[in-house]
Amino acid sequence: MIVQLRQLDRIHVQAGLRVPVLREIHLDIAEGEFLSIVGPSGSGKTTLLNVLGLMDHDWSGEYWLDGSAVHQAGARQRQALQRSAVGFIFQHYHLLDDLTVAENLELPLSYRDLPSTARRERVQAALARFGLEGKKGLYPAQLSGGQQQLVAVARAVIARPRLLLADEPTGALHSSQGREIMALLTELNREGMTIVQVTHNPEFAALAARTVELRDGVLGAA
Amino acid sequence: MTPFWFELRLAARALLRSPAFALTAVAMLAAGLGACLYMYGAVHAFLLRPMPLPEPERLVHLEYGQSGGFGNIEPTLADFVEFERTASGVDDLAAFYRGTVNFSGDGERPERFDGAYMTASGFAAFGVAPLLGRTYARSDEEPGAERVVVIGFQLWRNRFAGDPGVVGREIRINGRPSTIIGVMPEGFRFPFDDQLWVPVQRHPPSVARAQGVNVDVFGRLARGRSIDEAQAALQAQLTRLNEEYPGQVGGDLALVKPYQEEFVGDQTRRILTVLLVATVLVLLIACANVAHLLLARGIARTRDLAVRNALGASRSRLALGLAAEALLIAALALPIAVIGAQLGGDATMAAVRHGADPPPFWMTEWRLELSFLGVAFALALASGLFAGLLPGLRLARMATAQVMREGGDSGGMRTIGRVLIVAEIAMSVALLVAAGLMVRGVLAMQSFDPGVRIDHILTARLGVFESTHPDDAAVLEFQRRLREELAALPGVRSATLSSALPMGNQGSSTAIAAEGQVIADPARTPLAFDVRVSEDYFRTFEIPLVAGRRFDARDRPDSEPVVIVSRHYAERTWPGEDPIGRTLRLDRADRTEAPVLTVVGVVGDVAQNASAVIDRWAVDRPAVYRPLAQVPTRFVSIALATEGPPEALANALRDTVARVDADTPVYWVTSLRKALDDAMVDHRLVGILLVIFGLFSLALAASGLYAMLAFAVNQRTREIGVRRALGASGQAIVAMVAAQGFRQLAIGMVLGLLLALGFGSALSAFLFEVSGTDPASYAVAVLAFALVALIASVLPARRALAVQPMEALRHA
Ligand SMILES: Nc1ncnc2c1ncn2[C@@H]1O[C@H](COP(=O)(O)OP(=O)(O)OP(=O)(O)O)[C@@H](O)[C@H]1O
Ligand SMILES: [Mg+2]
Repeated sequence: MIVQLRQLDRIHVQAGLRVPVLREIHLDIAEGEFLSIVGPSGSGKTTLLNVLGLMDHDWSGEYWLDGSAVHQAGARQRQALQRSAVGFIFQHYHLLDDLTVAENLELPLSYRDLPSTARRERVQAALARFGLEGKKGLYPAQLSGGQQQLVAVARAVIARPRLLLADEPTGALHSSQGREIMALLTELNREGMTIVQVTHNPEFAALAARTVELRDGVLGAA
Repeated sequence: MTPFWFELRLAARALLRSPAFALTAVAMLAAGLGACLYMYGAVHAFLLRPMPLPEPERLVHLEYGQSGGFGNIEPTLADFVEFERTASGVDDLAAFYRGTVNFSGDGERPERFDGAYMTASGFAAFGVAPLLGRTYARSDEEPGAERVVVIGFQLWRNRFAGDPGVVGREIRINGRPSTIIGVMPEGFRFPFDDQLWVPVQRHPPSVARAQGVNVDVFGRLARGRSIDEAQAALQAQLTRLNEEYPGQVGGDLALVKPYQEEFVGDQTRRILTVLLVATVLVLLIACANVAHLLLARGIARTRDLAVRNALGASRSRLALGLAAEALLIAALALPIAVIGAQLGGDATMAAVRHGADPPPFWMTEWRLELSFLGVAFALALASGLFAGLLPGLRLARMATAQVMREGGDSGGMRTIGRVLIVAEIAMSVALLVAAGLMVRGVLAMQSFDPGVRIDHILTARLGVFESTHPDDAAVLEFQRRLREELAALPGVRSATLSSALPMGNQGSSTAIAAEGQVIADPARTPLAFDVRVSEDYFRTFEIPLVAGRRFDARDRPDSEPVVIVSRHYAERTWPGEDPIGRTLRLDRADRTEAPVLTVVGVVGDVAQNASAVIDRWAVDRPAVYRPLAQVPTRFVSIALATEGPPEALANALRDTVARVDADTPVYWVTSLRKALDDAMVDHRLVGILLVIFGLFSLALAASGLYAMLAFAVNQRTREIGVRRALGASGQAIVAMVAAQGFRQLAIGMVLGLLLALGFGSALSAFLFEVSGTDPASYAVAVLAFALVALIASVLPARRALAVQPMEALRHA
């Protein structure tokens, strides 16, 4: 199991009120699995993804990631774990406007101890693999939405994470562009990458081997 | 409603909605404007304000220069008489010299005034008629004429209670019976700051031309004549004079300049310019800051701007809206700045008036004149436009570009912001260096060792005239009794009289040539301070005796003429030999008229002239001391070494003088410490001002840097979130934020140091024992700025650290 959540609770404090967002989550994700999370808006999908991606640590319960006890880890360990294991794709791409496509791809590598030649090789490889060679000098504003998300996917996987988290990766794209991104995710999964995606699109949810549903912070089978 | 008023109303509403921003911006601009107006006021008072006389622009001052040598040589009275005879181009050619006028004989305590010994033509040249009575005439200047005096308004009101019957009163001027013949109106205190006018005594023809007094010559340009024409006319006269009296005329180049320039030296002019430039920089920094704040605000509102643009607003209309805010800010800052400048100006002028050598009265008044308000308004408008249009035009372009989906133009915006910050840093560093240099100079001046005791010394000055003390014996007797009585006062350790005080303005110099000394060029015979002293002079000032003896009762008018020399002079003139018993003459090496003096003592080196403190004249400049008994001197300074605070003995000193001679006023009663402080007033003032301007600029630049980085962090919240999500550590984020400031900081500092070199060289004449490139001042300025910049960057960097990636990305 790459992910094991036990009795995980996440409570938001809003205007002095304690609002439970995730309740007693119990979730196992096997290495190499492709999991879809669905659920109505506000049900806690993004929150769950943030917990999985180690962006959030204000929860209680147990979380084992790749054998490490996240609930016992300090900030430093969490960051190391995140760097080595997790990649993110966002609904709004979140490319950095001032960096070119190539520079955006290089960014995660620059935060990891990698010699610059190795970095350049990997960027080159990613550009080739995702068909972005012709675009490497362009800025995000010069790309279409689909192309931007393509870059975001490339950026998410360039550091070779074991767990790829995608929060509505197709949410801002029209359907043909969405399909391309989904094909890419399927392909990555086939190559062995564990993928967890949040989606509202039943067609895309169905591409995953397993789908779970969140309702008011409670996890159930779809 | 016109678009302008409409935008102004919107701008007012926008400012009201963000009072913190409004207050910050107004405060910044008020500081910059205030500093600038304050200096403009000073420059106006000292350099631009015309003399309060009719047609002041026609008044000119005439003097000599030497080809290849000095300028500013005053003609002698004899030369003036020649010019007067053949005058051309200048009407009412007049001459004066200033001196002490002792006023007594009207039943009140005798009082000393600065008076002008002036030709009758002076009144005509100034173009002012008397309030009462008449001014004197040419005939009053002839030797043997009855003595008359014209008095000033203040003297008339204070001493005669404004009595209209004062004309015709008999009083004593310098002990001689004289008649008051007129009263000048209020505000007439020319040629400098005078209260009394006495006719110049024309020399009887027997006086050798070179020995006459030197006079200031002035007059009124004839109508339709230019200064150049007047100068050419004077040159012709001067050339003729030189041909007629070869070697007897002080100079060969004629100089005619506006009279106004007589009052302000080059140094003052330069220092005022430096300070004015400094305040302009402060204002520019303030403007840059406000522009920057507006830019930040505008970027946060680009969506509004884009919507307005979509609704039909043109680019210039959008810019106008943004500029309107800046103009409002400037309008609010203006009255604060004017009031601040006024308060500062009043205080400064009061300080300047109490300095050792104050400028004439009309310069030291701080008046709210129309021209001042005009400049204030223009400056405020200019800074409002500068601070408003720059971001306005840029933002407007960006807003329209966004609507057209050209993609963000925030790069250009950021470039402008960066350039502004670099400029701010550069200007601030330069100002800090200038302040540092000046502070070092003033500190050096204050810790300067003049070679004499400064504390617990009370000083004063007095002079006796031939009318009451007709010969040398009478003068000596008066001085002997005075010193005895002063020395006997309780609380006085010792008392002495001397022709001049150490570091005073009364000193004189003389050529000095030791017998047997080889001086290749007699025209370049060394100069020495020439001080005549009574017994106890060296003891009172605690000047150490190095060899030989001090003056004592042995040194009488009829005994062998003796001299005491300063240590440095002795060592240089007779290296390795015993100076005692050597002889010298106080004259050029090729002349032998002056008596031979025998060296009886050697004393420590002393800064004898005020310029030694201020102009870096070395303490080791030679000085010679002679006994007053052998060189009778009518004007002397008193110095008392006191046991307690010297000021406490001021009245006892005055009473003692009155007891010895009821007709002789004593003046300039002050402690040596205070006199010295007064002599440094200008320097300290410049130092204080530069420090204030430097701190202003530091605070402004630091807040600018802070605002820039804080804004950048705000702008980049999403980016920081993304980077965190991609694995950036806290350190990496701080480094990223700090690095952004660092480039600007480095460039700004380098530019600032270059700018500072300019300040340094402009200030160098004003710096005491500190070079204009003094590395310590530069280093301290850079360190101080770096420290403040560090603090200004750490705060936003910490804010960047606090960015929660989840939060930052949630609401993208
Ligand atoms: N920082 C926060 N403070 C308070 N409440 C929060 C915070 N973040 C999320 N919530 C609340 O937690 C709940 C779950 O939010 P979350 O973003 O996980 O929903 P979601 O399932 O991703 O919804 P959507 O499909 O709209 O993206 C919502 O009710 C939201 O209001
Ligand atoms: Mg969500």
